[in-house]
Order: sequence, then C-alpha cells, then structure tokens
Amino acid sequence: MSASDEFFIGWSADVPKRTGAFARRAWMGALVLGLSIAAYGAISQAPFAKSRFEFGVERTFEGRIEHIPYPTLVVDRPGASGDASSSRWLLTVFGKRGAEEFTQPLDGHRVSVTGSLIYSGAGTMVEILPDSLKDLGEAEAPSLPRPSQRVFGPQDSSVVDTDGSLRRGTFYGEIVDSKCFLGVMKPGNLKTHRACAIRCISGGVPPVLVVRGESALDPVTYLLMVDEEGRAVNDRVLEHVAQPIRIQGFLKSYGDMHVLHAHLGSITRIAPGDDPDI
Amino acid sequence: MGHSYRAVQWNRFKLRYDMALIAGVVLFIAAFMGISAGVHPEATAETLLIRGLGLAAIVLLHVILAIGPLARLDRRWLPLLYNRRHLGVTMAILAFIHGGFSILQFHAFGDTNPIVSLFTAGSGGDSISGFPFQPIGAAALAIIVLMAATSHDYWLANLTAPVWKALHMLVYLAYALVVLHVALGSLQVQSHWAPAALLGVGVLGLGTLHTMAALQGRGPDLAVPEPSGEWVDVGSVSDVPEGRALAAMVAGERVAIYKNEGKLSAISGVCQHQNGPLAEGRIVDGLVVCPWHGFQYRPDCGKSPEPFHETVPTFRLEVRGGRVLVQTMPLPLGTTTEPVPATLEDSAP
Ligand code: HEM
Ligand code: FES
Repeated sequence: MSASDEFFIGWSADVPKRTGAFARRAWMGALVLGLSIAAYGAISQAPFAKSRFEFGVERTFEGRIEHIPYPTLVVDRPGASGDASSSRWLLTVFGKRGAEEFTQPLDGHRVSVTGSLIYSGAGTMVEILPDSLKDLGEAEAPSLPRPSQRVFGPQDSSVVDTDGSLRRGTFYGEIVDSKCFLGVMKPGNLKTHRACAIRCISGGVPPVLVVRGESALDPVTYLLMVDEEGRAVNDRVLEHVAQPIRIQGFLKSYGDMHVLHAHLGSITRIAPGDDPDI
Repeated sequence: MGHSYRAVQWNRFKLRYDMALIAGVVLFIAAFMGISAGVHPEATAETLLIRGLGLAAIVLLHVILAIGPLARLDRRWLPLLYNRRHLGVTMAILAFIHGGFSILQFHAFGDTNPIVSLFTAGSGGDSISGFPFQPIGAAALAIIVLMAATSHDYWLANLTAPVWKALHMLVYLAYALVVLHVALGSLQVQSHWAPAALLGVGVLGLGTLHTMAALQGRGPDLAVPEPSGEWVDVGSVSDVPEGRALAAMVAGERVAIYKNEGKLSAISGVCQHQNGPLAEGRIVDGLVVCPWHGFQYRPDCGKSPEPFHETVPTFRLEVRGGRVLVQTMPLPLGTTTEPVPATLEDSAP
C-alpha cells in the first residue's frame, strides 16, 4: 500500500504511517527551503550605516543653546583650538519631534541637560530630556567663530570664490530628517524610510540634505537646511523628502556645522542613478 | 465539523502539526536575525525584526497558497491542507506584528495620528516606483486579518458558504498586494538581485502550480458522459471499488457513486463544508468521509450522523446490464435511497 492509497482523516488521531512520513518529509523540506531563504535574505541586505543611538544611556552635557534656527548645543572641547575648540550638536526630544519649544526660552544661555547621544561620522545630536534642562545663566559671547565662509563639499567647487565670498552652487542629494539619519534608524534614508522622514520633519526634527558620496558606505556629509533668509524650512520640503533632488543655494559654516541656505524654488527631482557630473 | 458548539477539536496530529509550525516559524526568524546580526553587526534590532517578520509572513503565504494545488495534484499533501487554517492564522499574526511594529517605528510619536500618517505620509511620489508601499501593505493586512478572523467553521456556516468562499478568494488579492508592497518598498532600495529574483520565483512557482492543478481538475472527473434520457450511464459496476467512489459528472453536477459492503449509492460529489471532492473520500465505519476535513455523510440519505446536520443531495441509481445508471435530477434533500447491490444482475426498477 502506498501513501496515495492511505486515507487520512484529519480529526482522527491516527495518521496512516506513510502519510505521516510524507508530512514529516514535507515539513523538513519546507524548513530547509525556508531557512535558506532566511539566510539569503539576511546576507543580501544592503550594508547598514556605522552610526549609533545610545538608546537608554543618559549622559549630562553642558553648553550654550543657539538656534540656527534649529536648536543646537555648543559644547566646548577643552584642549582643542580654533574651529575645533567647540562642537555644535543638534537637539531633539523623544519621538518624531523638535526640541525648539523647550530650548527657545533658553536661547543664548548656558545650560546643563541630560539626554542620549546619536552620532555617526557625519555629526552628533542629543535626544534631550526636556525636564532636565537647567538654566546656568546667560552666556557671553558665542564660543564659536561667526559663520565662516569656509566652504566645503565635493559638489561644486564654484561655491566659493578664491577671495572667499559666497556664491550660489548646485547640490545633489536627498532631504531626510537629521535624527534618523544620524543614527536612530537604519536605514534612515531612501524610500522605505520616506514616510518616517516626512513624519519627523513635519514634527520639527531639523531637515538635512544628505550629499551623496561615492558609495553607500562613504562617510556622507549632510547640510542643515534653511531657506535663503535663514528660516526653518520643515513644512516646505515635505513633498521632496527621501527622493534624489538637485537644489541651489549657498553654504555657511558654523564651526563644524554646515548650513545650506537653499533656494526652495530650485528643487528638482532627478532620476535615481542619474549622477551629477561633478 | 459542528459549528455551533464545538470550538476546536484537538488531537495528537493537530498538536504535532502546530508544534512543527511554530518551531518552523521561530527557527526562521531566529535564523534571519542571527545571521543578519553576524553579517551586519551595525544593523539595528528593530529593522531586523520588521524585516524578519515580513519575510516569514510572505514565505508562509507562499506555503499556504501552494498546498491547495499540491493536494489536488497529489493526495499525500492532504494532511497539510487539513490544518491550513492554522497556517493562515499564524501568517496573519506575523503580518500583524510586522505591520504594527512598522507603524510604531515609522509613524508613531509624531505630530499626526499614526494611522492617518500611514495613509498620508509618503504620497507625492510622481513615478510608479515612488508610489507609497505602506498603504498597500495595510490593505493586504486588512484582508489577511479578516480572513483569519473568519476562518473558523462557525463563520463558514453563519456567512453561508458562497459568501465565505468569496471572502476567502480574496487571499489572491491579498497576495497580489503583498507582492506590490515588497516590489514598491524593499525592492526599490535593494541593489542586490537576490530578493527580486526570489520574489519572481515565488510568483511564477505559484502560478505554475495553480495552472497544473486546474488542468488536472479537468480530467476524468469532468468528462461528461452521454446522457440517455433521464438516466445517465456513469460506468461499469466493476469500476467502483469497495469502500470508495467513482466520480461522475451528471448533467453538469459532480456525483459520487459509493460502494459500501457491496452496495451502491449515489450522493453529491460536493462536500457541504467547503466544496471538497466527496468522490475522493472513503467509507469509514459505514460513513462517507470527505478527504479534505473529514465531514461524514450516510451514503443512503446524504445526512451527517448526529449531532451534525449537514446534508448533501442523493440521486436515484440503477444497475442495467452491468452498467451503473444515475438519474440526473437530485432527490429532495434528505431522501433515503435503497442501496443497490453491485452485481451484474439488473436492479429492481
Ligand atoms: C499595515 C501594514 C504594513 C506596514 C505598515 C508594512 C510596512 C513595511 C515596511 C516599512 C517595510 C520596509 C522595512 C525595511 O526594509 O526597513 C516592509 C517590508 C516588508 N513587508 Fe510590510 N508592511 C505591512 C504589511 C505587510 C504584509 C501584510 C506583509 C505580508 C504578508 C508584508 C510583508 C513585507 C515583506 C516581505 C517586506 C520585505 C522585508 C525585507 O526587506 O526583508 N508587509 N513592510
Ligand atoms: S470536509 Fe471540508 S470540504 Fe469536505
């Protein structure tokens, strides 16, 4: 008698022998196939960014609150000098929210604040606990050089003239939210992350233009995005988030923070892989 | 079988089936996450969990859709078909956690209700590849959860078979939506060719299986014999094996001619439960047993034994010159017929 001659009745506890053996073989086969797919799927994932979100780790920092116009904390780096003597960290709060409502009253003040670090090779951010903000009084002169005309970026060398004056340039990249990009989510860019980036930017997280490097793993550079008058642009860039775009504007550098004063009307969608000729 | 009072009947086979299923799913997700963490130490657990769950759900969906045609092509797959509902519910749970976790990760804790965000954020893509893939996943999830929630026989009886059947045909729509969800989502950011190739193999494989099963279904079961007046010759007496049935097509209806202890009876070939092929069943303890989920019917009157109350139509049957003749009109539901001895002698008219 072959398995095909056996009659299996589901509600009966007795499974005919060959039928049972076949079911076991089918299960083993499905398992091997399934596990191969799991392994293949795991291995073929695109590389993940080397960034970090110290979730659950709380540290306390001291620095001066400055808005450019997004809230930042300027922290001293004792021992270093010049541009490197201090760093500028972006600030957010828990979730897909900006920290501005909590930091605005403390603009220009020295504060101590507790939060979790988010960092990658491209920059640093702190997810602060708003209740931990402690006003240490108004701080004097900014500890940073004023916006310098030092220009950086592989994009367009014509951005700066030899005499250092700023000029318009064209930039290629993708607008994303700074929080996920710097390390909270991986991937923190591209289409699968688009909805999240829109949510974050809409909620007040500073938008940045991620300037494409040679490969997905290159240390990428990002430019904080403001409009030509230096105002926040969150609600005006939503429709272009997480898409490859071309945009015109000029750069200002605040220490180690590079700010793109963008001409929003110039945003043009470009086809993916349509590489700019730089 | 009963749908009003018996929730789920457990037995050793069902228990082992479910243990094997759960073990398989756990191993799958553990393998995906473990290997991912090994190969990509920078990956975050949330992303891996979302991907692992989605992947497990779509693989299970393929298994579910493959078992139907496999069981048509080879009866040995029937035990897997029998508890397919468990696969469906498991898949729905995986998809639900995947979707729920994605909503939490990508839409919650912002300035908008996460469900509203799910359907509004990310629109504005101006190309096909820019089309938002998450609402498509949500539509698939809605269908899958609806089917899982109504998969119990209680709903089959209460929604009536045609409505239930139509509802469960939506699984093909759900499948198409899931394929779109992946093609417009993950595949858009993947530069590796393997995931797209795997998905292609899955779609083609299921298409092939379904086509093969459909072609096989048109075999002897559907060959319409010549009608001779009111009576149709469905074959020779010797064609009917003891304890089994001969499948016939009588005026466009499927009929099963059963031989039980040397006597022939004709009942509908369509199970009341989910239209299972009654002619492919067996006689066990004097009752016709459906091969799909084991519903039972008396061969002479088509009624299920107490306490069940499903009934299939019976047909008048005669033996003339060693041939089996069946009357084309089904008898009124519940009519008892006298089983006809399967001999070469003509039966009494
Ligand atoms: C509300 C419903 C759903 C939402 C919000 C959703 C969301 C997502 C998101 C955001 C991704 C991309 C994850 C990433 O690569 O980082 C994804 C991928 C995926 N989803 Fe869904 N999904 C939903 C429903 C479903 C359903 C019902 C299925 C299948 C039964 C499914 C199967 C998949 C698969 C196979 C992937 C690809 C996984 C990978 O990249 O390895 N999803 N989904
Ligand atoms: S028992 Fe389910 S179809 Fe017959």
